[in-house]
Amino acid sequence: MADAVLPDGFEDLAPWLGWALEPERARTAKKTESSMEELRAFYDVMMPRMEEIIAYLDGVPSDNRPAPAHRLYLITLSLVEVSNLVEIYKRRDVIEACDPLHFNPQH
Amino acid sequence: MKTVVRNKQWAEKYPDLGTEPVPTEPYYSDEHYALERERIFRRCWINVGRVDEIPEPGDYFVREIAICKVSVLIIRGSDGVVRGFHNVCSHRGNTLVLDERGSCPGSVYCHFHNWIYSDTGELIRVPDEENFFDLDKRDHGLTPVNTDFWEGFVFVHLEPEPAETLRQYLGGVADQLDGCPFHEMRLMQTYKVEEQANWKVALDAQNELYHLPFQHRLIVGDAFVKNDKGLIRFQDVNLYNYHSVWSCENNPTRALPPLESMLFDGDDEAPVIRIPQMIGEFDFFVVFPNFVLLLFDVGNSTSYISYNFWPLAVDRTIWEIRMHFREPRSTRERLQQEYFKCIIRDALQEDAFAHENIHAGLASHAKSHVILQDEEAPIRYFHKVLEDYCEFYRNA
Ligand code: FES
Ligand SMILES: [Fe+2]
Repeated sequence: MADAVLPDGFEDLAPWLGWALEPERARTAKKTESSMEELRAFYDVMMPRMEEIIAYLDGVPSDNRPAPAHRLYLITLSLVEVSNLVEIYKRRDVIEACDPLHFNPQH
Repeated sequence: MKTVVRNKQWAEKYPDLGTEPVPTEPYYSDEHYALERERIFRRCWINVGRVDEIPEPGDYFVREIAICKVSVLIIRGSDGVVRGFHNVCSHRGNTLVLDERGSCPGSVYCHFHNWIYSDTGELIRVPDEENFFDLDKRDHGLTPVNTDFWEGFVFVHLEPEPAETLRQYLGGVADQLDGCPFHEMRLMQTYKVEEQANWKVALDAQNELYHLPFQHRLIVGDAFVKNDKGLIRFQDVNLYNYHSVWSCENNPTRALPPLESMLFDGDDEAPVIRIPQMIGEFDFFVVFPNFVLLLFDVGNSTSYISYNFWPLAVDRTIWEIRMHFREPRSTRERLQQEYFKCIIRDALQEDAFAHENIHAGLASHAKSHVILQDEEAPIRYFHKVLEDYCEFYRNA
């Protein structure tokens, strides 16, 4: 079989591969470009899978993840990136903060 | 609970601190900024980084201390020793190393006429050396900058003969935090945030929790112990020779958002590993003038954040934020760290927005003074130390 894009059992997350981004600034940029509806849809799919994803990633060496596992890991970091906006702020117009991209991550 | 939610307790603990309003002019005055250059940034030990950033011989980083127009090169020599130099070539003064960090095992060369220095600072090669007049290379090594270390933190002092050793200068901060395993917490992320605000506006805005339930009400407003009116009280405030720390306790009844709850509920690791040097559960050390060490727990590991506030001009600052976490032992722990990184970062983005608005208000000259309450005592102390150094009012 050709290289899988995501690990076995997580193929259904393929529509969210656009979130398999690094470094941090790329995830932040995608968050700022996405509508709240898009963020909520991503969040709603990912949250129920988190225990399963964590259990899977724990079985893979963290310093040498195969590409499909690494993509899954990056999508999970994106879930963390957007969770605050979805869970806490809920709406963008209540936020009084600088542009998130003004925080310039060095890594 | 260790926190006593009594009013005005810090004025009682430190009666000499006073209670009067604090003048605003130091936030926007060019004259005060010039005094800060000469009397603070040239006369205090300034943190420039950590030795872990340059583990191998030849590894270096460069620090611009812009207020003093000084560029410092911190380099680990082939002998394993970390040294600090002015980043300036001995020939005609060119800036020597142009990258912010890197590695140059063995030697460093100048891009102008290719003078070459060893990684321990000696001048070792001069093209066309015979055509110079009585040039003794031994006299023309890099100019050292006083450099000293505490718990892996690198500090420099721009005076040739510092009045105090780094240890004396750090005083009670070092006494409190000696032995703290900073080296076990790796740098996970650095943010450099350029702001149109005076560096003290940015620092002061971080140096209290009065604003938390208001400015940060949605995101972290509930993080710490409050009184029955919903206002935060520090667990403790300690003032040292020039420095200070405030400490507080986490709110044990905070409602966790779903992801945080999921990431931390399933945690089957041993209980929290506390660093015995910590005073509260969230300790905010201000090391005068522009360095902050913020210690807190994430799950079962202690973590720390450092801030360096770099003045670029009286109304421009780079707020450098470095977040450090222990090497994660599981995916869950790694995600806990990511969660905290994001939530703190997002809260600090609210702060960054505020800093510029605060600066604009102060710089308008509308108010001659700011008014501080008891829970803003650390800011009061900072301004007292500032005035002790600058003597802006004493000589007025
Ligand atoms: S200025 Fe550096 S070699 Fe000439
Ligand atoms: Fe804040």
